[in-house]
Amino acid sequence: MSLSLFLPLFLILILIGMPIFFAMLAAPGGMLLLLNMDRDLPLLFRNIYNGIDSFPLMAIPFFMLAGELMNRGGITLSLVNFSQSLLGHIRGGLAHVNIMTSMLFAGLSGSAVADTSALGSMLIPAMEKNGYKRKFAAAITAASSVIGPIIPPSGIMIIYAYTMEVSVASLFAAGILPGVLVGLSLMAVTSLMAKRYDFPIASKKATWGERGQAAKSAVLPMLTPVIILGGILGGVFTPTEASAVAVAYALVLSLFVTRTLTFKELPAIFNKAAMASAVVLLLVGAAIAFKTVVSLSYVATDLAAWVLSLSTSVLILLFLINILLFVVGMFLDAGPAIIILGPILGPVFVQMGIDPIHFAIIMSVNLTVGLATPPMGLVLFVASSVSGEKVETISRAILPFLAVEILVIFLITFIPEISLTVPRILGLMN
Amino acid sequence: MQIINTLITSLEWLNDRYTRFSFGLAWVLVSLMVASILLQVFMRYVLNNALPWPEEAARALMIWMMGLVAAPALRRGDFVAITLLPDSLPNLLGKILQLILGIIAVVILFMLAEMSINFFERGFRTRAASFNMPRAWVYLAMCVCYFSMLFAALEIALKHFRSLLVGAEKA
Repeated sequence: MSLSLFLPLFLILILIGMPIFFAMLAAPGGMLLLLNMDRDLPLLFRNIYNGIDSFPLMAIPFFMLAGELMNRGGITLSLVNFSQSLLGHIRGGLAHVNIMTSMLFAGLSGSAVADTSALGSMLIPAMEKNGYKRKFAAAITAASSVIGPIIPPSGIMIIYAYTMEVSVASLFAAGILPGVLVGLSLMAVTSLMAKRYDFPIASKKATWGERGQAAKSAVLPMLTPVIILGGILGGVFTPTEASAVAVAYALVLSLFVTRTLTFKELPAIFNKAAMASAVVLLLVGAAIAFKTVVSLSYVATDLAAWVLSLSTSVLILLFLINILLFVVGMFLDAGPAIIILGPILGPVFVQMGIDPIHFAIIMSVNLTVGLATPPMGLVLFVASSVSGEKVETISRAILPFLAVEILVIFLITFIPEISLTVPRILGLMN
Repeated sequence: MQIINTLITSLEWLNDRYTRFSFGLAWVLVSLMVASILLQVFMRYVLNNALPWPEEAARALMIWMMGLVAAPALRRGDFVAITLLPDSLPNLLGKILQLILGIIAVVILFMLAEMSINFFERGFRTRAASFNMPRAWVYLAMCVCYFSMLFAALEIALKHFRSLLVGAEKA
């Protein structure tokens, strides 16, 4: 019996419904016990701790908290008003507003779930009132929410950067164009559908004065990504420091500028962010322990050899990997999927000459789109609970948007410049 | 059944109190984390006088924050899992599978909790790099984390067991 059997055991455990955290420890731990290698168990334990005890990882609770504060602080409303002043007068106006607000919200929060629940609770009823079918409103909310973790800041990119030892700043910069591309593609599909199905116009064309007014109330929240990215890329802060500054900025905005939040509400918001990040931190810790056994067992080398035996063409392998990631994304949340697959797939493709940042973006975008893919896409469930529409109904309505997102994934995969141009311009890579 | 019910009620009582305690403390730790990092930024960029301890202190606070709230997150079902198979199985089989998974979680957490005591004791041999304190006081967070998760997992597993027994009695 070989230690590499822990990988099939791990797959069986997650398929039968064991939480990923436990499966990541049970499979390698069980095999170590069976092979009388129990002296390595404390190493497994120690590496969970070492994985968590990390300064870069602290950006995860901070970005989660900043997003939650922005959301609860009524900042979403000012973003919606701003988008509406620009796009509300065109056919399918509110659908475009939904997508544009997702792109703006993505600069504040790194989470698709936060985007769906924040924008969905506001825009789905508004779209329904404006004459859209509720299932369409829920579908466009879910489809556009995947932009959240692609445009920086991004929780999954922090996880990827940490587990795969690549630069967070480069990943953040690399996510900007792909995120904008997803947003513009969704807008293109919406325009086509708006003409075909005669979508309503949301409001009369805003005057430049009204637009200026809307921009004035949205400008402070929209400065968040400028502070975060400007600070990181300008070398003023580390990503973790930038995330703490984002929390402070969100607190000041919500407590003193918009005054939509009171001090009394803060403990509950802080605890919510603490719980969400505790789960992610433990997962990352377990992933680092898992990686230890991956290297002890040579399973990565065997898998690499197997992947390379499938085809000698990098393009075909990238195509196959896209299909694999897409299928995984249908069933598994993006963070855990990156934690599991990153250490296995990343080195194989980097060895084949794919830029590590480009591969990170391929993985991140693909798995993020998986969040909106039936049957298990997490944001579908959130959109369902926010809208009251059945998951199956939203799953059918989202198909045209998913089709265009898949097209974008292939563009990102086969045109590396989409991901690498911004980091190159900013001097973050050669 | 009487014994199972008593055990579940006792564990619920214990875990509810722990949740209240952890929620009372976790938000303070998060606030202190933010404050330490902001202080670090302020001292380095504004006063040009970097302090040695905020980064290590913030890491310790994060580990404690995680250790405190992991069990409430487990009880709330926040740990990600693919539930397609257990959900699609017939009722009885699904319950048996849930119970088995619950028992495996208890065994893993028992082992982790046991190892965490040794880890804590060894922590007295090393000191934090930037302040005069044994690392054991940071490592203690892992004991709190795994022991509290163990109690939460026990409650969950016992509830699966009770649900299985009730199902069998009805059948």
